[in-house]
Amino acid sequence: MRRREILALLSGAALCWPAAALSQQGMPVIAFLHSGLPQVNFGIVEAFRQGLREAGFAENRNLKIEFRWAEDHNDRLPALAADLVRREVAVIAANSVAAVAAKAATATIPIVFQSGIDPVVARLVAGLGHPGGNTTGVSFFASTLEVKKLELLHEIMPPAAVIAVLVNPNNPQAEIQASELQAAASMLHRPLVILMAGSERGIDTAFATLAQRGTAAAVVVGDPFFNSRRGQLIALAVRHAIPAIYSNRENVDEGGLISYGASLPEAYREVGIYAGRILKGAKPADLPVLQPTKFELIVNLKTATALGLALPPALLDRADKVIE
Amino acid sequence: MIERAKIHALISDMAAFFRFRGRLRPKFVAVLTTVVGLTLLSNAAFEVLFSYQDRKAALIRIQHEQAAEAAGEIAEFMQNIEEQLAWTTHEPWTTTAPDRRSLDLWRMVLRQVPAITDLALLDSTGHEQLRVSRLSMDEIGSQLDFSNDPKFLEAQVGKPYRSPVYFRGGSEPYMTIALRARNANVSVAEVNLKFIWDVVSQIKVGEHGQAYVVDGRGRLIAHPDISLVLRNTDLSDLAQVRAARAEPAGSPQSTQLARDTYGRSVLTANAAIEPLDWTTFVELPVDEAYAPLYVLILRISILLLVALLLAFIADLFLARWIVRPLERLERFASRVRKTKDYTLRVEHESNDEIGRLAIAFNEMLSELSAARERESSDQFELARVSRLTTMGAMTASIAHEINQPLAAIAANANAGLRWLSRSTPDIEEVHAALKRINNDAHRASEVIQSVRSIFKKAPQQGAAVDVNDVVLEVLALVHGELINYRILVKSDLPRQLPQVRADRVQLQQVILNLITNAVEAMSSVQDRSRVLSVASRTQDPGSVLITVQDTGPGIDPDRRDRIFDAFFSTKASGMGMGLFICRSIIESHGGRLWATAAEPHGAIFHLLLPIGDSGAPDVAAETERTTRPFRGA
Repeated sequence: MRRREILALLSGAALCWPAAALSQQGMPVIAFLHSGLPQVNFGIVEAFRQGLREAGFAENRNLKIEFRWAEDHNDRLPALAADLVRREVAVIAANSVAAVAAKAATATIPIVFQSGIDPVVARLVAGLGHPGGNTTGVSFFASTLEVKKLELLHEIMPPAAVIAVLVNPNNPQAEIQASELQAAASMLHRPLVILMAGSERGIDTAFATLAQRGTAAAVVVGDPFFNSRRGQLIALAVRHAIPAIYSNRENVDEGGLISYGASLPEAYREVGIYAGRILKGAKPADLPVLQPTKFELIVNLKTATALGLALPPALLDRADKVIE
Repeated sequence: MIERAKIHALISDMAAFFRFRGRLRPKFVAVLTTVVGLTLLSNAAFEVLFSYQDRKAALIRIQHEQAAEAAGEIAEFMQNIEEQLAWTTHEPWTTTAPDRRSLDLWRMVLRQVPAITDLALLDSTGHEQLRVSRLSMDEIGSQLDFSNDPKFLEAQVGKPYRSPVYFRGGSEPYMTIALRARNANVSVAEVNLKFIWDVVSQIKVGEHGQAYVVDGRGRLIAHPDISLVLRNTDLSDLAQVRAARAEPAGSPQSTQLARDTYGRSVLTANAAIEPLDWTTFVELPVDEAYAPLYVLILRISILLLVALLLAFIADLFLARWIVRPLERLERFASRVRKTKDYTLRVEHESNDEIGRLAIAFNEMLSELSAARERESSDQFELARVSRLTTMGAMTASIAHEINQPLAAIAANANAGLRWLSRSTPDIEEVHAALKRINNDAHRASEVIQSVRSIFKKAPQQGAAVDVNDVVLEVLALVHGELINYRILVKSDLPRQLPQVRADRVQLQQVILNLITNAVEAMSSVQDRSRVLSVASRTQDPGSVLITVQDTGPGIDPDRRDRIFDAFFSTKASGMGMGLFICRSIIESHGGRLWATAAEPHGAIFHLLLPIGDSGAPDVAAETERTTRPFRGA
């Protein structure tokens, strides 16, 4: 841990002067601040670059992007954000927790977020239509969609089966997510177990617990940390033969059973476009918070077969994509 | 050198052009530029006007079609949603109590229609029996009461209910559609209008034009820039939106030029979306719409500029070919008028109309010159003849008068000699003869006295005379002669010269004589210029001095004193009376006349006349006569 922090600081210092030089050349410098790991987020970074290109900015041609990854250590975010503010980057693009840190660090540098958390509740913006401050972005409905995910598992699983929910205690919305899901489960008359997992080992422990308790299925809530640990989660689900539902289709592409939610890369594309518009002079206060309109239901039939699970035909009919 | 001269000529032409010195040139330029300019301008104006109107009409028509098409698509989109919703009002959807199976059916509608976010079934009492949603949990039998909600009440009447647009979370545009089933159940759909974006963003209106949709209250519900919609933008203040809302559907659109939400000037067309009270607008920035016109105007402006430049250049050449020769002719004519020198000839280069005009002008001058020459030589001859005649008659008379006493003197002298040559000289007779000789001599002297007395009375008739006038009159009289002998006249006649009291004719005679003498004296001069200088000035005390100077051979100093004597002449044909009479006349006026030598050549005759108003001339004349007695021949 300690070693990593020092390395991050060193690399930050090493990058310090070239960034300033580029800035002097008139090439704007923007920042991409993310709480997760770079290696599992190629997709969203590429989508972000795509959005910038659509707005007329290509990296290293007329734009420099400074990437900062907290590598699932949210406690590093304030320092990273402060560093970016000190370097006077033109725009900070950030995911929800990173955006909260950036917002705390500056009230002037425009911040474009992709947020799973309700941005009004998280006080990132004053309102969706008129954000009002230096922050705008894409809201993802992630928390409200958790109940839909529970509903889908409920539809698949036999009535008595216990469903577990995997929540990241480090997520500021963890408690809200847990209580909303609890309420939804009681409406559905479905026994629910809430498991907290905030680290690599925590996830292992949580799955071990699931297996021990004979839990039938799991809802993995939308969370940047769980995104980073995608591979581990899918592997554990397979190992313990637990049907799981995720927020992002990437999990299903890689072997998860089912996912429901808006496209994360699409959201980052919009973040890129907004960052470009701000570089061209738009004010974040005037750019309304965008919300996805398409919510995709993706089902992996191979995983279902491997789990020996018979999915209801109505669900398969409704699915936007069925991986066979 | 030639090139430089040409450039100088061109520059002076241009300078003259900008000074508008001539009158012909600006007229020509005005006519040429007016003709060229008006032709081009009228052509341009027509072209621009018609292009403008055609283009505007065409663009408005196209935009109107686009708007109508977009309106149709949006109407169809909404229609499609309603049709899908209508499915839910059919059996067996609403007849059986909602269960898991009906949930699946209703969920399929969401799958089919992405724009519907929430879908609900209200029973005939307005209580919610079923709800499926993309965002929240599906529910069966919630029994929520919507019996007083307009969506239920209006749908119950039997018509499809279409709510006003509302903005969910203050941002996303939504509307509610409710349909009644046969059993009085009501299906309610919440439609996300962001999906209309797909329709309006696909409409391409030029480069920067766009299509957008506003609802009945003037709220923006679809725009290619979705952020404007999500901001819940109110466009009811835009002139075109106001006009569209005020005008009844289907009436011709009155507003074609307006400002859009960005403040740009746009061509605007709209179409109503039936059956909603929405309107589609299609707008194209005026700058873009008229870009080809601007190019046209630019092209015409350049053409106009080039034409004007050509007109200017044409004017320069016109100046070279016409105006400058004409100006030269004009200057020449005024020179002839001033100098009255009809021997001058204008130069001409070309054989065009102007060249021929110059030739005609020269011919006219030749004839005029010849006529003037004839006239002036006649006049001079007349003056000379009259002078000679007068002189001759007078001289003959004087000779006769003097001859008689001389003859008598000769006879008496002879008689006296004879009386003395006798053997006894008769002294008495000789005495008598000498006495007669004495008498006759006195008689001769008296004759001379009487000649002088001819002029003696003249000054009494004198009047105030301006000497300069007299000099100018004489110069005018001998003008032809001066030209004939190529004599340059220098006159120095100051204006403020006092008048003298004199006989004008006699004074004229004297000055004429002096000038004629000068002219004749210079007639033999070949090796130098012939200059006649006439000057007048006031001389102290109370006199006017006139000098006549020539550049002739001058007067031999030995003879200078004798030239004023009667019957003395330096000229072969001279009678020797001119200067004698002149001096007599001047002296009779109480003045003086004398000659001096001029340097380096010629003679100066000085004529001093007393100023007349004091009455002194007579006294002076008397004094003169007594101090300087007449010197006989």
